[in-house]
Amino acid sequence: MDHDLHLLERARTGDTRAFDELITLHRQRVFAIAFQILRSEDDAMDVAQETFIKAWHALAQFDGRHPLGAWLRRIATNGAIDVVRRRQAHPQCEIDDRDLAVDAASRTTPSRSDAPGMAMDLRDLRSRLDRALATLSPDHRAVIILREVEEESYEEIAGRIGCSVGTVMSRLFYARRHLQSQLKDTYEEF
Amino acid sequence: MKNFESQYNRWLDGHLRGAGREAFEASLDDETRRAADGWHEVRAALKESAAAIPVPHPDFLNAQVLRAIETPAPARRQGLPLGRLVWAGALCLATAGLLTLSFLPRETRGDTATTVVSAWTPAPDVSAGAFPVPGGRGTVIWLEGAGYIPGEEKVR
Repeated sequence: MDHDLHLLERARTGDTRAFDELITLHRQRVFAIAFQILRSEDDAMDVAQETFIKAWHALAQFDGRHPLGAWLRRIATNGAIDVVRRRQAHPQCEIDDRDLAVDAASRTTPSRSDAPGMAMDLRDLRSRLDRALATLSPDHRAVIILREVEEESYEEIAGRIGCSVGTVMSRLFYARRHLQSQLKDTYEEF
Repeated sequence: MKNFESQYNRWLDGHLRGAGREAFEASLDDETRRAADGWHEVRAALKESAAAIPVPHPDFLNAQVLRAIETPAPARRQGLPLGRLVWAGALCLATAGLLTLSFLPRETRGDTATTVVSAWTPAPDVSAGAFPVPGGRGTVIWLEGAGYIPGEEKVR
């Protein structure tokens, strides 16, 4: 954190070497948040680049109330959401809430499997989670990533993606149900 | 359903407290509550997943960003500013005026313009016109239709 601030001060004077170090420190999280929403390496790389370029030009506006990493991820998520909006202008394959709707039975966790050898470790869970996330629409992914990973409030998410809190609640609910449904064989082992 | 969605999210996120939480949990079956327990594992995996996604070409990312910020921004497209546009417009108008004056046939200018002053003759088939000579050197009287002018007649 202190190292961040030190580099930040140098970067503010135009020191690109210091900014290079900041990129190195934060690029993974910035790229990851964009990738989690967009599920495209190319798009996520573009968003990451734009994030750091915007950050460079806005260094003077960074007030330090939040950690630098959170500020960068916020720029990145805004960039990713913009990409989602542009994609929606040219829709390819979207999943609607209705597509994610699960039947009443899936409100519940399925009964524990009797089959042995089904236990999966956390790495397996991450792998399945990764595939399950890919089956969500970008809108649902954005909401669940902002809530679960970035820990933003419902109101903050609504403000970010430009919709009502009710819509956020609905997307969050169906995204959670969808993931629960997709991963039910996995987390019942925990 | 909307209310259930909202309640469910708030409950799962630990925002329901006291009697509200108890009432909501009482409305859930055991398996739904177990699903919530399972969700905590998913949530942890989501966070860990975010930390485990590698940047495909990390140095390339740095290089691209540095190139973008170190390269001077391209000069703004050189359009004429408003003031220069106004002056250019005025200059165009002045030039057009000068060109018009210089190409205007001299015969049509005021001091050389043909002017018919008056015409009166006793014969109806005779018409007369007066044409001032440029430079004020005199006036030409043009009589049309008159075969001759009697010597005793005067031009008045």
